[in-house]
Amino acid sequence: MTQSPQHPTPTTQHPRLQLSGIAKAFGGIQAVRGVSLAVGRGEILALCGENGAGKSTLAKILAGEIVPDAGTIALDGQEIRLSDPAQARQMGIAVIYQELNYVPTLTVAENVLLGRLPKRGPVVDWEAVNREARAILAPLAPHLDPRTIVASLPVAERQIVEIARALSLEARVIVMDEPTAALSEQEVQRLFTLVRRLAESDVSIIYISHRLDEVFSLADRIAVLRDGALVADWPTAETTRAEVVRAMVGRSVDELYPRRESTPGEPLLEVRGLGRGEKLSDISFLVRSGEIVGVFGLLGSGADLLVKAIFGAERADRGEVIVAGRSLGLPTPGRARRAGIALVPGERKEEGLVLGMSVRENLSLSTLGAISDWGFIRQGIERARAVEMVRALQIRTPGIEAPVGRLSGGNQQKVVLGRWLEARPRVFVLEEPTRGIDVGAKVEVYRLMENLAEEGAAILLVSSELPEILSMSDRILTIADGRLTGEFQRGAVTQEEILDSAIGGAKV
Amino acid sequence: MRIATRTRSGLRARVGVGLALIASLLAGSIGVAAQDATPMAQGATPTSEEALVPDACAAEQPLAEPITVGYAGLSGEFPFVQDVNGGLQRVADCLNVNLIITDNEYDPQVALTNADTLVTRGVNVAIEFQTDVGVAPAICSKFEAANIPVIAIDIPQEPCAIFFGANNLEAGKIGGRHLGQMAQERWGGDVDALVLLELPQSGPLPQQRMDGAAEGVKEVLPNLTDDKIIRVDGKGNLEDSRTVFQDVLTRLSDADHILVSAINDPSAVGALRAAEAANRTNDVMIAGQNATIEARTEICRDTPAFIGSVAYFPDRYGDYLIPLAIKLAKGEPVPDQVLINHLWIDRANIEQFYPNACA
Amino acid sequence: MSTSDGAPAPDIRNLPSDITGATRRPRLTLGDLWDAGIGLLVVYVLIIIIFSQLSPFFLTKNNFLNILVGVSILGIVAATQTMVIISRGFDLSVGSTVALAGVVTAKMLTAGASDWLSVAGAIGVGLLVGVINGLLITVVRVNPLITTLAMLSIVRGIAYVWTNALTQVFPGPHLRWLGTGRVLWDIPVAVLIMLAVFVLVWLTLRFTTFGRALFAVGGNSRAALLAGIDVGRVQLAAYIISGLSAGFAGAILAAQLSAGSPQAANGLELNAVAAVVLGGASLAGGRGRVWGTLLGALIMETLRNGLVLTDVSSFYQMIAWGLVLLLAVVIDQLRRGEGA
Repeated sequence: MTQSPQHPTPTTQHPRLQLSGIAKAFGGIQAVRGVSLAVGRGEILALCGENGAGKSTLAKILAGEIVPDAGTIALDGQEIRLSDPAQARQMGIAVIYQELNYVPTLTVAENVLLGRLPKRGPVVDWEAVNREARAILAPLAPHLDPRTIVASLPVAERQIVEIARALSLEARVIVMDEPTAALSEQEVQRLFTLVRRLAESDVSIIYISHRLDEVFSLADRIAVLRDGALVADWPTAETTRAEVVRAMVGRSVDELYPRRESTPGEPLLEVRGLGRGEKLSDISFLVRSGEIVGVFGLLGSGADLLVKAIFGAERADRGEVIVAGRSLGLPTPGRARRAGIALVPGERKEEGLVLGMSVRENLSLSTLGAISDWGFIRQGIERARAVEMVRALQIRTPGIEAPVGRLSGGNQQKVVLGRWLEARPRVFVLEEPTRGIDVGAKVEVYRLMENLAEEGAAILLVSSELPEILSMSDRILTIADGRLTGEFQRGAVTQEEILDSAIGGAKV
Repeated sequence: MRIATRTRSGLRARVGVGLALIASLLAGSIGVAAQDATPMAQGATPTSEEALVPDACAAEQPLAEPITVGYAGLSGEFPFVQDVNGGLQRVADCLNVNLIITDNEYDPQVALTNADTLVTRGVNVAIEFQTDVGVAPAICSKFEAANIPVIAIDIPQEPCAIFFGANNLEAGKIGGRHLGQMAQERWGGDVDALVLLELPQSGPLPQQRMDGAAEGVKEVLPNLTDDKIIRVDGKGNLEDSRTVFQDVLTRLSDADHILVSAINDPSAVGALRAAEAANRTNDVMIAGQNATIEARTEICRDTPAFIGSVAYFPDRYGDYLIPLAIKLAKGEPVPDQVLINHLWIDRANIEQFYPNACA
Repeated sequence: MSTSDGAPAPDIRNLPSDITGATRRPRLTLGDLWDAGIGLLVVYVLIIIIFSQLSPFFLTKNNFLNILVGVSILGIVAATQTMVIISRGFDLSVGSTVALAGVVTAKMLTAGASDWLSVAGAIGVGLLVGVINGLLITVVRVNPLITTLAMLSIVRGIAYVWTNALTQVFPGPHLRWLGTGRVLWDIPVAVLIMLAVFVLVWLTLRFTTFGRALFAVGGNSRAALLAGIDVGRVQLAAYIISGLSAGFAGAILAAQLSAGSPQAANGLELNAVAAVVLGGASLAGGRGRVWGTLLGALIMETLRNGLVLTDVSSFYQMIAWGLVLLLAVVIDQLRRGEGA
């Protein structure tokens, strides 16, 4: 993944898109400060920055959804005004948001061709619809049946539909805002192939991402936004990861992943013969005190089910879970929590947080019993603990009473983690703990995992980010088709080997 | 609403407007009682109250040759209808009449099927107790084709049936007159207000009870002016009548001579409960309609504020209906409509008509 | 994912990282007042002002006690309905339960049971209905709307079958203390009981782990489950509490009427849900305030009372009631539009 971009850097003498002095404020907050940026024909520009740096605002300006307070936009040397999304699309600027815009009750084909279904006379030509959709989807997701109802697809595949739609608009400029957040490694590779091909056919790409690996393998140029201002702009070949990270966070992050000597102790979490129907069969493994065990699986491999089954949030039908020598049988969430298992689920908003509640209330959700007398919550203790946790994890929030929904992704994730830290569990099951959060927060999460392991916790890390798995885990398990397909020691394995093992038994 | 008609009665009960309303109407009459009709005993001063309540078993001879009468009841789920059914059976037995009972289940479609059944079984006379006037012509055509005369209970079945049922206006007047007389007796005719606890949702016909009540009071107390008449919606049930009458009492804070006539007995008892809660039982006199169990209990208790109720005697419907059916079967002339006699029930005569009421 | 860079959401990173301010109780701001249902309060005050102009009897102590008595049954079931709705449930069976519990009270008193035993019997019926509702919803996982709608029909049906649709009158002296009794400052017992129920529900929602769990389950049941909260038990408890309160309300209603009527409390469930929603709860769960519910119920009853005092036909009353419901909801919607 560190291969250099295959596409030659084109000249930017006649930029496809030229932004000059773009600025936008919301209320008192200056989201974008005088950004000037050019993208050449067929160029892939990566736009990096932490959450709140102004990337999404910039994307929305290009989509015509937000009108900037100042500055000009020129397309192929001609100044344009983007006052609404339809206009932007007409000009050939397509924006793919991370928050998806599909119609869940329609089919894949209908979504891809929404608003321009091929017709024969007044009647929609369904055969043509499916044929065209299939053609558009072919390079991206050949297995996807255009006639499937979108709502029945996993999130990652819905995203592919979204991308396919934008790609089919024959845009001159495509802006992608975190397109891979929910994609598996395999799907990411397919997407990249497609993006490169688009670039070759002279389409300009603005690729917004947190994931530096992706950025370095894909982009011709890397631009960094911080606090709404453009702070760096290099050809990819002339910069390094450390340099980009430093530009993003404004301080030096020596290494993304901490180095660590692990000294595994007694077994804390043991899973024996766990299974559920066809989806999960005979899963057995052991995590020791002080150990981080990574689990890697592609979409549909059963990794997510495994996590939930260990915690009892999904019912397994056979096997048992043993914590510190005591069997839970098939756990329920309540029993798992009392036995000292913590679960940080993958879908933060859907599974991790009660968005209508405050930071304080979300933090105490797993420890209500411990901070109450006769069922009455001891409010003083609850507040003190929340303040302490906010400070310890450096959760950036206006206060403990702020609605948790108003925090950034990284800080929300810290709230979910903090909730469990209060419960002082011995086993942490972390599902995609750094998905969609910025680099700075990522580092903090890694540090935290590090500290927890040092203090003797057993950590099971399920992630679809290979570098994360490789760098953080003492041992790595791969799962495919509901079965464990491999076990690797840290340092003795490459990304390719793990991917092979994970694809091994996977249905494609 | 396109709902399978068979489930309709259940649905109405569930939806809420339904059963309370239906039940309150049933206990008396849903249908039309023509104002110009001649009730059996109107005008005549009865020698004894008992004479007002017919006893067919005593008055008529059993038939030598039995006839068959078909009866389609409104719905077995209402106590009122159960009383009607029981009375019909009693009289049919003693007069040697075969009675075929079917249940219309408060459902017009079932009523049509039942009509077919009765025709098939070759009844001599049919008695229809059926709520939907819309299907009446269809039912009529079935019976007319088979040349079967029809009697309708409380709801007219045009164009074929003889009407039999309650006389709402008269029942109202009876209650009104007694209220007026008691006001004369206890308060020297000085009345601050006449409160009518109505049920507007039931439409204009049962409403005649309320008009009758006002007329009845005025017959005795001609000085009662219309501005003293207060009409409120008691929804025909205990709890709502209680609440609304509580408000009326507030409105009439200075009044201590208040007459109340209610559309039915639950409503009347509701008014009584409100007066009791406000400690103003001395300020009110209440008359009910139907003389159902709620009213009979209060009458037995001799609550001064609850002066009585007007009886409809659904268990006596059979005493009118079976002789009427026999006449029709024999081809004898009968009037176009027969209205029942209503009777005032109070502490003085309750045990006469409801022997075990105060046991 | 909440990487909505530079979206109008506050830029949290620029705020002072000193969060010690948060240790203080949050100050009461105008926004909080709105949140506390001030819009509803405005509507209520308006109703009071209008009626006090129209009727000389409206602004009297007795009339207000009347309103409170009138709202007591609705209030008791609406208070606990608030808990159910916060947990993202529904209990449509409360009206029928009130009726059946009233019938039980009357039947038991007639059969010679003591006052206390009869009230206990009514509460027992409520408990039973609540347990059945709760188990069907949490264990069999039937939709709460369907479950309680079915129970609405079944329970009402039982009341009819058992009584043959006849009102069960019981001898007057029984339960007088509960129905029309008055204590301190002439306040009716039923009103005190209702207020006590509201205080209890408020304490529960505001201060207990169970209350917090109700909000969590209603706000995001999946997250609550994954936080180790026993979601099923929390929901079960909510339905049981709702059933208990309906049973108790049934006994009070029977006491007020000196009778148990199978037709009683028809449509009570919808009024209860309306009061809860009027009070600011979300039918989507996770949000609700019990004092708002009280205000909602009071608005409904005050409106009815005022329209009777001013001699408005009951048909117009229905229209007026619908308009006020819409008005309150619109005000709430506008407020939310501003605050977002």
